[in-house]
Amino acid sequence: MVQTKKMLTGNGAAAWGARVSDVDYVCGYPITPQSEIVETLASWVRHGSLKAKFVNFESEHSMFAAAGAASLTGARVFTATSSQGLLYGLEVLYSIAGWRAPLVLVNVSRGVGMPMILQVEHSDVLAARDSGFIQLHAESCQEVLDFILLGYRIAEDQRVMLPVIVNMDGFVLSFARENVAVPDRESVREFLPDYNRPNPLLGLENDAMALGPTTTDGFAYGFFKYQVHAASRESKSVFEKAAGDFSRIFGRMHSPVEAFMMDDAEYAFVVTNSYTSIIRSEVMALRAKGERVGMVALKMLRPFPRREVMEALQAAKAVAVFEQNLAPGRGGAIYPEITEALYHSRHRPDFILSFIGGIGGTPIGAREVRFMLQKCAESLKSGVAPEDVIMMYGEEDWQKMKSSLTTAGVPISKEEATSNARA
Amino acid sequence: MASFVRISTEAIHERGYISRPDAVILLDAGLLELQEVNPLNGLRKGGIVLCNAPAARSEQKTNIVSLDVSGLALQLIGRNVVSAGIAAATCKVLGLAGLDSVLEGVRTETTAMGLKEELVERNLELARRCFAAAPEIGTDHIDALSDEKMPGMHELRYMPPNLSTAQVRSTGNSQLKKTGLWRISTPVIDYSKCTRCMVCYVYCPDSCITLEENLTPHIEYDNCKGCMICLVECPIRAIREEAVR
Repeated sequence: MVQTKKMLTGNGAAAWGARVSDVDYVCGYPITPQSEIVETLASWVRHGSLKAKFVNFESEHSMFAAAGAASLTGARVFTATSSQGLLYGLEVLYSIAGWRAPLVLVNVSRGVGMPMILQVEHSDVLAARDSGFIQLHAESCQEVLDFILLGYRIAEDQRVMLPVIVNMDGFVLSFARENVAVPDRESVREFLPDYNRPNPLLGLENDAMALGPTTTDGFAYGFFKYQVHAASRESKSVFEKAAGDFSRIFGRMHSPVEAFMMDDAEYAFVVTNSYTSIIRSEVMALRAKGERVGMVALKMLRPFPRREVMEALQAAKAVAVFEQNLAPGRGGAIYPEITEALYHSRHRPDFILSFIGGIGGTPIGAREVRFMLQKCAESLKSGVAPEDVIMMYGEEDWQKMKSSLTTAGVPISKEEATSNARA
Repeated sequence: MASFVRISTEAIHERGYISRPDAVILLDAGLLELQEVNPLNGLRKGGIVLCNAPAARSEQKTNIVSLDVSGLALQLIGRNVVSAGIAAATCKVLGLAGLDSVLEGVRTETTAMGLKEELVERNLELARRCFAAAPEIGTDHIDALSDEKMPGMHELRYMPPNLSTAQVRSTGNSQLKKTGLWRISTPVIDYSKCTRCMVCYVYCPDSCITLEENLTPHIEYDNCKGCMICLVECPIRAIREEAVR
């Protein structure tokens, strides 16, 4: 087994993941912060280092339709997008899942306008959470590559046959170079066998069939929808088996949920994607001071790893769910899923608090982690949970916001501008 | 544009922006004049500043290094492309890597960009010259413990839609940003040749050319980015290019 260390951006790691997976068909449409992925693949196809067909589309909507159709012919398909692009093609994602087309789509998370932003927020990928796609969320550039390999392995498994979204954070991963171990194709072949689709759509006259027909009654719709759900549930054990093989061949272990320093932890942070690294280091720092804190990182969002979440968190006294998305009128989109996973546990935490931060790429650090810990401690002491999600917003950001409003000619009054500093 | 680098022999868990840098590398000293950019904000006590500035404006202080990388790049490459030179100077000043590693890195990066061998060589020469010209300072003296306390948190509250919808009501505020500061060449009108045909006025993509009543054009240099479209479009070549130095 040969692995070469390269300094790669998350986008570069995604392109390499597709390359060593020996994809047959790549379709693209540019959008920041994703464009580098399909540009890199297009260049490799042009220069012959990747034997695949590359097509640039006129929109994400047709790009997804082509990706799904190509996958049905038995081709291994790769595509990538971000934010507005993912939402523009959203309805097709449901079709791809219903077609049982096992392609891999990389989403580079970026906030959804308006207002327009280029940096990270997870509203885009979470909007696709009910499409039937399996979702794997990467903490590092290495995980981007690894999850693409694992993605194809579980997607193409005959028990699953569902598409996969691999998510990475825009800018924080997509444009950040890290040391990434890139395996060679031979060792990937050992892990990832050829995609073998029974009854591929080949367009042969004597092999004609119709895929994706309209169902006129609920009995058929309900049957097929449930099968997508059941296959998604099935994919978790397929992931675990594949992760075992992955670890044996490549020496890196992956699991749907990572419990970090959770032994005897009284307080736990729940986190996804690249900010996991930041909270991980703060947890280590707090442990060094004797605080009983831990972290639970979700790497798999769909299927939702309910049992693993429950087992990892049930012994904690208070849980802080940190999210980089804001569903207006609801709060964090992941919070209710964590709460539900714990509801039927006999030893569930006394409090589960919902925090929003880092949206639009705002940095977080020791201050935010300490703040979440303090809010959890306050709830344990008072016995009262906050009524609403807690939006973490720095005083320095508020100063900048006030100044921007003034420049923009918005007549913010003294009273409104008065700093409402938190204790 | 700002980008950030963390270098360590151990695993790095921090991600994203760096608010308390050990060093700030400025590819264009003009950035120092942009108040809203404020590139030295947060620099640690004893932190190092390396900037690309014309020789005439260079100043050498304990922790401030000025190099005319653009001048060298124009001389060696013929264009104001400074990455290889800045990278080499950075490695020398911060004591991060020796010349051989720097040259290997420049070769790898420029080759991956698809540059022809001749251009790769010129970039390597730029790196060599900047490495030689830069002093070695190192980072051991920088006080990592001098970090100020972070400000507290702010509780966002409801504000009426009239005030809380993303909008810009004060039009014309783009003039506040002196985009002329990033100009690397300046268009200059030769009024003895100019026929007042208005072509430059029509083509300026930033509306930086205004007309007098008799149609005489004037370039507003505070905001002219030096794209040279006016020079290309002027039908009688009455606009020349001058370097910003």
